Amino acid sequence: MSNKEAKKIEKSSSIKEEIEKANKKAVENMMEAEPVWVDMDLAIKVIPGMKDRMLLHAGPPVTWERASGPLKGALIGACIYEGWASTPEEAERLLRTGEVVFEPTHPHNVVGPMAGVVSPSMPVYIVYDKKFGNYAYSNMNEGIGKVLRYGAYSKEVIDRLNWMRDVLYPVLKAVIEEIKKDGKPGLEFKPLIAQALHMGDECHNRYVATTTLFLKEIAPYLVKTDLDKKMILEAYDFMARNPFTTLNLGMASAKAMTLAAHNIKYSTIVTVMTRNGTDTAIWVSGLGNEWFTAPAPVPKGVWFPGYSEKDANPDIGDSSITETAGFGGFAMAAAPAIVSWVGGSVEFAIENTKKMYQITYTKHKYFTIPYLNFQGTPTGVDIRKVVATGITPTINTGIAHKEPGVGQIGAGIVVFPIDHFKAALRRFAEVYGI
Amino acid sequence: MTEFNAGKIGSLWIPFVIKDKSIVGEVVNVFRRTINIRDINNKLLSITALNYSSPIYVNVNYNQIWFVNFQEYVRPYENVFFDKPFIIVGGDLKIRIELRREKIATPRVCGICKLVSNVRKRELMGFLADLYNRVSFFLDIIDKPNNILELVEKMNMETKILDILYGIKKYIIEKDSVIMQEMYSMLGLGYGVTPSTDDFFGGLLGTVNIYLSCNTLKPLILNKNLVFKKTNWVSGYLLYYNHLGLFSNILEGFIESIFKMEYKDTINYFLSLLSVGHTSGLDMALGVLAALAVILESIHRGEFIEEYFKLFFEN
Repeated sequence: MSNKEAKKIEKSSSIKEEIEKANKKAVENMMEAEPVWVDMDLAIKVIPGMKDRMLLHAGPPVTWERASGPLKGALIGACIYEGWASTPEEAERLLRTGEVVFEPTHPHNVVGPMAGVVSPSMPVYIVYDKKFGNYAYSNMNEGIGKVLRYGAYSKEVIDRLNWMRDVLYPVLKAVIEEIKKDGKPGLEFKPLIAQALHMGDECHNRYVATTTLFLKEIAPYLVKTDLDKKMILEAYDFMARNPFTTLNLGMASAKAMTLAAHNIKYSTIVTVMTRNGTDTAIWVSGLGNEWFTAPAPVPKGVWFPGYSEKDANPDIGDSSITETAGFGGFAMAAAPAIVSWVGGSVEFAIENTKKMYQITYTKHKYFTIPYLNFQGTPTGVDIRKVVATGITPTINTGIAHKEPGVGQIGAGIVVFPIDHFKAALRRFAEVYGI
Repeated sequence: MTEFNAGKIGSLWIPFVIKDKSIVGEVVNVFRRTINIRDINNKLLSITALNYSSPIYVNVNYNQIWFVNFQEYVRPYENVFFDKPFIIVGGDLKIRIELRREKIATPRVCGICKLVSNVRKRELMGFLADLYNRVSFFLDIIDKPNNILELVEKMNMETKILDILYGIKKYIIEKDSVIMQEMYSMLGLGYGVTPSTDDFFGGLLGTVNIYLSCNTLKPLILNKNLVFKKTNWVSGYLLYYNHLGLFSNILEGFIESIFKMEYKDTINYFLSLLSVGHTSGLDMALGVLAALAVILESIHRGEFIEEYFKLFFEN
């Protein structure tokens, strides 16, 4: 064997060891992160890099021309909400000409479900990882049906957003202040997810238990606030009626967890999986903020009355950050009732979780599934395993109408394409190998 | 009865599905996503939910999210027949066939031949050396246990493999006989339905035979009886088809992109092959790369075989 070859072999085996070390660290960090809801504020005041006349959106970067219907709808709605435009046409002109810019959420440490649009004067949850010191942010959840995140922008949508800013936000802000006055750092979210997984949630498309637990946690602090009782009652009623109230907090927590795993040299662990309704995309820990994209598939699922697959937009949203962090679709075996919402069968839910073990680094230390004898959830998607098995992540998702302005038309399941995992592995070889 | 639509229809199915009614054969074995069939001419055909095509496959279209498990509908020894427009398997499964030109999967040997004759051979040498390094890097960082490389090491078969490669080279240069006996003795070794050696020699011989056919040389034809003495019927038939150059579209794409010297496509096909079977795709790819070393060495008299061997088998 020539010296050159010997060196190459030595280099390769040391790279494998480096990958193993890096992945162990990445997934360990992901599992050990301690996301805590610590505050609320307006997006412009707290989100790094957020500016006036800037909107953030889910998924990878996209031009106005390539943007999907629901994303366009949500961006238009946000312009109207901010008072930058009074009509959809005016909003579209601002967005098309670049007078209002739009950027992906993830580089700002923000996540938003579906279109994921966050505008400067929207209130956001602030989640702090007290273990690793990262901050993550998400907007508040509007409920289901005709909502901004699904691309609707009618008066009722804008009115609701205004109400959320004027009523829901001050109530939640007061609650978190009261929690902190009690000597707590905030509301720890990891234990809430862990418990909800034992109560039938998978914490992506089913947040019934999580929301109930959340309301139980905050109830005493709601009472302690000095706010008007009518205001508190309105806010409580809104949250109690919306089973997705805690989705955004769960997502921000997942973002905090995956941030702890991000930017670790040599790591092949996926730290972002996201979609904008046109493309899906991933980030890989050892490859920084480089986007690897592939066309977004249309989800399969259960349709609201009057709608079908032909009305559906390709998959959209940052909510797949939950699967990235080791729950959501990966924990479907914990949530048999989810199939009534997303379709499929209980057997499918169990089989899906089992399948995801084949592409993940380990089983979660803290998120466990009673039905699988309290095994940890599949955690830490490894691009090498995805390519080696041909199995790609399965995501639970909502389904938006393909036209702007309509909203949600169903919920279902989507399988990520394999192309960006291959592209990421090719890039990994360029960066670390050859 | 569960019904699927056929996405692609392999060309070897055509004689059965152009008639109004025909008896196809009987089921040999059933896996979650593949049904293997012995046709009335005692040849292998398959129905599969895999996402790649081949002249022997009928690919069923299905919603990729909900898992397909043919074992729920089909048992071994059940009859398979065609009753226009359905292929019917036993009493519980039927597949609708719509015969359109774009749906038929035919071998692309002629297309590859054109590439072989046009390729700039000196450039191909550089391309291959680089490709070997890249493939070797991926193999080093991706776990695919129990592949041909591990098998050869475990069973101390390095010399035999090397002898076969040099034997094929000799055949190409001198039209001299090849040590085929050695090859037969190694068939059927390894894990899974298609043991690693069968897959490796399928890729190796198939690629060499494409090259020989393109240069109007006599291909190296396996003796079917000797093959079936050493390996199971399904694997033996797949090997037989592969060695004639009847590959899956992924393996064809891999070979085509090599002759086109397109790195991105070549690596993409290679990465796709990694998820084919347990290690089948990888074993076949390594067979293809071995064949290319043999072919180049027979043209240029360099030390490609040794380079290939050191990089993969002595690593």
